[in-house]
Amino acid sequence: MGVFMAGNAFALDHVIITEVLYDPANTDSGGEAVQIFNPTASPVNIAGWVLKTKTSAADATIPYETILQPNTHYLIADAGWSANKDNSSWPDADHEEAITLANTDAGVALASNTTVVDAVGWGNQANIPPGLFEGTPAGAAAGGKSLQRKQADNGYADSGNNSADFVESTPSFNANTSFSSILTIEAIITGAMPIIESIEIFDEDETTAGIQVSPVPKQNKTVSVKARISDSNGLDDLKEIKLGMGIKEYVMGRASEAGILTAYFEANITLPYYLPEGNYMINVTAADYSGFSASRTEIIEYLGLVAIELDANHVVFSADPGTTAEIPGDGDMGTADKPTIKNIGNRPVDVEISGSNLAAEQTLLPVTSILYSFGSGFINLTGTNEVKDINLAAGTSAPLALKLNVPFGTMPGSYFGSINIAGVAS
Amino acid sequence: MNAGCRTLQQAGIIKKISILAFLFITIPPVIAQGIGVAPHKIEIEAVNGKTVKKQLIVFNPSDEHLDFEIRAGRWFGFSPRNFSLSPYEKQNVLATITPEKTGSFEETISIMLKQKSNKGLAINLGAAVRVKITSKPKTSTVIGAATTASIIALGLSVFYVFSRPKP
Repeated sequence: MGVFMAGNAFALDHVIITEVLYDPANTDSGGEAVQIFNPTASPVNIAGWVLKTKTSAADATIPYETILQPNTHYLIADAGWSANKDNSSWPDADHEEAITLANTDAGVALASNTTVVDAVGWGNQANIPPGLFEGTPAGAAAGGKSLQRKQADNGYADSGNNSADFVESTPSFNANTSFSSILTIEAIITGAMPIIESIEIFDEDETTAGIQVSPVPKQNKTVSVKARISDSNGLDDLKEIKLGMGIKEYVMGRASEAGILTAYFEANITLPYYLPEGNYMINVTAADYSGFSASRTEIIEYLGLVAIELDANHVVFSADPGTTAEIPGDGDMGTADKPTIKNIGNRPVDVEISGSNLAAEQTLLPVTSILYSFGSGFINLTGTNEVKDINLAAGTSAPLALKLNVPFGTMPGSYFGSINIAGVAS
Repeated sequence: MNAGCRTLQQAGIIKKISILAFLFITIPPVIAQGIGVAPHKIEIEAVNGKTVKKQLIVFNPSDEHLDFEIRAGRWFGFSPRNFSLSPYEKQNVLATITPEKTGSFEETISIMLKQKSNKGLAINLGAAVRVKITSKPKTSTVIGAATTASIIALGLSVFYVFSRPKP
């Protein structure tokens, strides 16, 4: 089979006979051939189709499982064609079978079951059986010449009249050169896909693989995301650049150009300080007016931040010997006389706590005289760092209450000491 | 009687402490101080004696200028170790960790505010970073060379066995 690309070749709706060589220059035996063609847009199952001739109603039968693809020829030739054909450069037949095409006043029909699909006759119509020609038979071809279907604007001519559609020619099976309207394939690429070449996010920890972004205590974190995007159709073809993180979406604006076809687009993402640490996916999508789009993702690691805030940097007890002074805490960061601790990071925190003795000029009060509470019972302070599990959630506050036991016999005076409170991730 | 004497003896003391205490009773202005550090934990795998670098970011989330000091065990080095930060400023700190023993260890890096208050009971605020260190032994040159030689010898043996003509 040969594939034939013809302009508007799909104008015909049935398989046609395109060439008949019934009187070869050399021997008739093995020198005769009929070429058919599928001008339709769909494959045609021609298995079992037959060539009807003056000699036989089924002079040749096309083998089973033969599908003729669109714009494809199929050559049926007399048995011995490959050895006896007039011109050894002609192609071998797709199917060889003993056929007999009379040299005068005869015809050949291509039939599916009993239905004639196409027919070509030559010579005197009166001597040709019905069904072996269409309209008026074509004129006889000289020995060595074939009857070839003419070309038309829409491919092959098929007026239903053999004398009009066929012409004597030099055989050219499958050569397809008789058509001037070879299909020219012109690919017009109207839309080039945008390319997101890179996504740039400032890495705050170059000692660790990946991109780390640190929250800022008590504040939103602004992360600038820059994408380098190109489009072969030009920057004006870029319709919309979007930056997505989770359910939030931002429109990226053009920040600067990096050539005729490339530019940087930028948008800021706002991350609250209490956003849990972890990996977050950032997705940049570029859509153009040609209907194409591209996307690229980047992962950022939002670091765990331990951060605490206290609304007092010292407390002053007033106590009599034998009494206990208490400074109550509260949950209000605006009351320095009632200490409050607040988690301003994104991790639940516990505290490491320790203290020192309260010292006066000549004497001291032991650190264990100081007691602390973060809302539950009071605990004696020690000089050793101890972890108190308060599990203070991000953004929440707890009271820090302090007590001072002043034993009897304590010398009066000004006592100074310190308490160390360090937030640590729960 | 004894109790009464003690009470009388203490009466003067109480008076003195009360007077002094009265001098200290003030309602301090709200000076919220804060500190933040990221990341909150560090996990490293190191070869014993080799230094690993990690970065910390220390924040001053307060409205006032604060001084910071970093404390940790002797395996740790910091650059800088002491620094000051203006309100809402941050400082990148390069931590170097050089394990001196093999095994698994848990250490703590404490970043503390240097207290400016000298009144009563000062509260020093800080933040701590947990550090998990897995320290592996060094491979000595002799062992390394012996291992390499063994691998080469094994390779040559395999090559000899498979390339020998079959009888």
